[in-house]
Amino acid sequence: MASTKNIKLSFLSVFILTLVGWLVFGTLSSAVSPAPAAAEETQGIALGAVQDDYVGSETCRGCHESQFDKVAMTKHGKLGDLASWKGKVVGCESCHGPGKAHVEGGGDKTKIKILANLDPKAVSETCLACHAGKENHNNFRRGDHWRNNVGCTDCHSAHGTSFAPQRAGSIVQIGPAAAQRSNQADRAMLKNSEPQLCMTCHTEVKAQFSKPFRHKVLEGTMNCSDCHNPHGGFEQKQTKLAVGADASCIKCHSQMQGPFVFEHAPLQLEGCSACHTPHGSSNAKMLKRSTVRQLCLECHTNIFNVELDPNLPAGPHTQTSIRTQNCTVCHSQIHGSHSSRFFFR
Amino acid sequence: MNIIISQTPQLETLRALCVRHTTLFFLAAATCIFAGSSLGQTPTPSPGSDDRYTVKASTEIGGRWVDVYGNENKFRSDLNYKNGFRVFDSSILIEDNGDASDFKVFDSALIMASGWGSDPSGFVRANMERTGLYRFDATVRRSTYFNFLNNHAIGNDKRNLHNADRRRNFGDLDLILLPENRNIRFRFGYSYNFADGAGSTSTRISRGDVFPVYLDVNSSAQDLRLGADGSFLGFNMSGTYGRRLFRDRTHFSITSGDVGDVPTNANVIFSQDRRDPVNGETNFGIFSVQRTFAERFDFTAKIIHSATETSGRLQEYVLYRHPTNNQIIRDEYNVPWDATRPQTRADVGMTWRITDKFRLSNTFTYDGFNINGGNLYTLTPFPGNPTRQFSYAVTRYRRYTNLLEGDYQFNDRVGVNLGWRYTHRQVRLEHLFDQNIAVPSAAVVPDEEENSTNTIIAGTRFKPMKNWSIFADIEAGKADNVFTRLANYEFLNYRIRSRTHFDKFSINASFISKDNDNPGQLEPATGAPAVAPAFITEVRSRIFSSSIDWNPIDKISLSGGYDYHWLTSEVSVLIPLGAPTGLTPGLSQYFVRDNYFFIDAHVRPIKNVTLFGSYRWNKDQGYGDRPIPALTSNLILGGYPTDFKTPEFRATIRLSKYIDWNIGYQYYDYQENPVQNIVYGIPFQNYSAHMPYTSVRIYLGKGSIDR
Repeated sequence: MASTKNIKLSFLSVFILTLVGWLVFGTLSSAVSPAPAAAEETQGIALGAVQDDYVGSETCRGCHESQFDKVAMTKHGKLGDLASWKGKVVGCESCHGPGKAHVEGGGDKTKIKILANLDPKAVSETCLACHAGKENHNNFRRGDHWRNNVGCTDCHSAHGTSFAPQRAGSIVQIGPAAAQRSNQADRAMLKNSEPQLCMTCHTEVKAQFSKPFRHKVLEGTMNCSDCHNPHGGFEQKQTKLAVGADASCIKCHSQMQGPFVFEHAPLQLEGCSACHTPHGSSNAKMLKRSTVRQLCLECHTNIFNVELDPNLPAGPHTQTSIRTQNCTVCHSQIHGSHSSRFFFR
Repeated sequence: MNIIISQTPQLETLRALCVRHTTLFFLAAATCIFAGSSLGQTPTPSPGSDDRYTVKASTEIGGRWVDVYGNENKFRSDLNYKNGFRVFDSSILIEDNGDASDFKVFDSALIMASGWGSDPSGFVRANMERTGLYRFDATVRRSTYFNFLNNHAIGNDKRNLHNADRRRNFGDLDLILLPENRNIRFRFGYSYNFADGAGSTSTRISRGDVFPVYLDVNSSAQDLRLGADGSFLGFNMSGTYGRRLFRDRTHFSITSGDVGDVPTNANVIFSQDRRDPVNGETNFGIFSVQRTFAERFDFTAKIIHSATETSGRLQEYVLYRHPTNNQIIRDEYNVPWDATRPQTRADVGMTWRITDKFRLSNTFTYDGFNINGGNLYTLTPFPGNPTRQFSYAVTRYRRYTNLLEGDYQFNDRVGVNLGWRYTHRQVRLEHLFDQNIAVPSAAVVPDEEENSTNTIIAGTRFKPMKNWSIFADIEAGKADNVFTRLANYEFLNYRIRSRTHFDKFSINASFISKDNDNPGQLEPATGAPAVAPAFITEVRSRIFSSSIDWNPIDKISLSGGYDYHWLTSEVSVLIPLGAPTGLTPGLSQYFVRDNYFFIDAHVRPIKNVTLFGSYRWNKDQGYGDRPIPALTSNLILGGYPTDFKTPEFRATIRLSKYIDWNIGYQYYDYQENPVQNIVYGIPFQNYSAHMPYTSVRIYLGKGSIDR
């Protein structure tokens, strides 16, 4: 116990020291105090670019007023007012690059960066120039979406999205009807409600979420991002972790967190999806198999070893008994037990 | 006789009503308040507008009627809709269009709600933010969980033993201060998770019958998180400290005599009372760092350490008649226990953009934990002599994974990637079950497994046309396995996705194939010679899915799709046919042949009327027309046919600028054919349900203008 407390204290100390470090070295002070005048003068300049190449967003507004108005309502359009962004390129040219040549060319489209014409990875690099530092985005360059050329603007609209008016609700939330849901569309500048966006490509999960036993994603109670990090991660399937190092399932299914005195090995070693189908299933408890024994037999071929053990009475697993075809009838605490190594109690 | 489970305490019912009515009141009040402030406005989205606030709101309230024919418990296990009032999707968005110099509480505030009232699950989400100052996100969810099935966990007397009628309440509240700040951001979070209600599980006594045990479920978990993100010396850093408290006060009881699942023998439980209060605590810290060097080299590292502890004391009293000696016995169990799990995960990722087209990436992951658990088990029977046993179980797990990947983008149409994943894992199990605690124990011989795996990953994506993308991935190699089997999983997985989209038409299709082979070995019986490896599990899965979306004109939209899931699982087993036959080599087979079809259509024939129709049909043929083997056969058959379909129709009539009236009907039909039910004469759980509903949607503010 003492060692655990020491670990806790160590972590807390490191955390506090790090925080104090930031404060001492002036990071916070630069965050809350006005930027130096010299920095303000250089607003609109990107690293590696020449000051004169930038024309400012007001110039863009002259021709692109509707886009300007839309962006102005978003966080992207408000960064110029923030102290920590002084001296940085903000507004249209932060993504589209310096606009002077474009303006002088009479709106020459070849002289401005048009994201729609770029490879998705190049689009993402543009976004990551600012967004890479956030923990959730740190692994985008190693994620499945990156690998498969799904770029940021496939899901997000940098110009902001319109708040769609709602129409009558239904428990059926697949298809264009669902696109009308505000749900999460207004958050994170997503182009559409989150499940609808994800299912555009991940078509197979539509069927899974329509099964009798399912997580309530189509109903809006849950979102894909409750369990997955669409921006990539160190876990397979881009799943999230909960409560530090636990599987994302534990966030809600807290009674399975353990540790148990006797743990069913897959709980920690293989994860919940060794036995359960997380999206949806026709099977009770969202199990991968409708007959429980099949699920057990796929790992426990040697379960009947007890029959061979002369120290144990023969017969507990006879095929002719209904009870023994439903393993969890006796092994009722199958996730783990504090008192029975066979998960009986 | 089936177990009747119900939430008996009136307090629970009262609390549920309070929560429900408070939520509805909150929504109604919010709607009225914002309506008052918005009806007189002429909002425009332009930041140059004179109107300070833009309000867009709509709320839909109504009722649903449910009429079920057939197995109502299965209906509730599947859908759990009830008669009564409900809140459909409702939302309020308020945007402050004031200038930067104006005092603002928020730039935007959005509240969304759905599913409250007679629906089984509902949520309220609130997002409020002031750019540069804070962002607040809150999600409150409620879910009722009902489970009462006669083809899962049933005893010899055909009773279903594992049932549930529970309610869960979840909440997440997150506040970020200075969210857009480049230098530092602060995060605070709180989550809660409460579960209560009724249920049942099963218990065995003295190798005798199985008995249903009533559960009064009561558990909770609460998390508190605080952290900061920022940059220092060019590194983006993030630190989080979190603490979770968990408690479980679920009470297990049998209050009236039960003859168990074999009524013909002597085994009877007269009463049982079990309490196993659990107190748990997790402290965790997460630290991550990222930096991109010279716009070419990306470095990301993350370390997590968590320490989870649980402790408790099981106390159980059971009064029963022994199955063989006919004695009335009073057992008393007393088991103090505790368990800890310190865990550390460390990840390091590096991506080097060698050229604009070529990238190399390496990801290293370490995961290590120990589970240390122990108890002092005391069984005091009366009559009889006490049994005491000291037990401990130690699991030590270490896993190292390295993934090396290369990615080449030939042009904006074609790209490929190739990777290699290496995994090394060590698992050590150490168990002691010592019944003679007065004498020093013999040395424990730990069970150790160590294995390495290699996996090749390859993929490509290409765009034959500007609007057509094809993605293809393949993974082949070996994966870690549960150590009950003595070899690694061998697998070959690949998938192909196609996505085509035009202005008014899109078609998507995918095919996923998974082949998993899981070789095993029979552990020898005590003192018996080793048995050669002879067991294998073969799982073959194929999933085809497709969907089409078509919006030919503004007034019509169509969406449809078809999925086919084919799965066969075959396991070599020793089938216990019972004395005197004993164990016989055999095969356990399981089949899924699942078809899923859906179509949705939206039509607006006239200005004030919108029609919606949908149909979805899921038909799993399971084992198909294979003959059901006799119980004395060495073949086990699993996976049974199911068929469920649900058509829905809805009409929306615009009564005025502010009000829509909706009327709809949904039908749900479920049919099944489980092997177990056929063999043992257990009724199928077929049902059909009629669910008409009607509702009124009220639009307020700009929400009424936009539509």
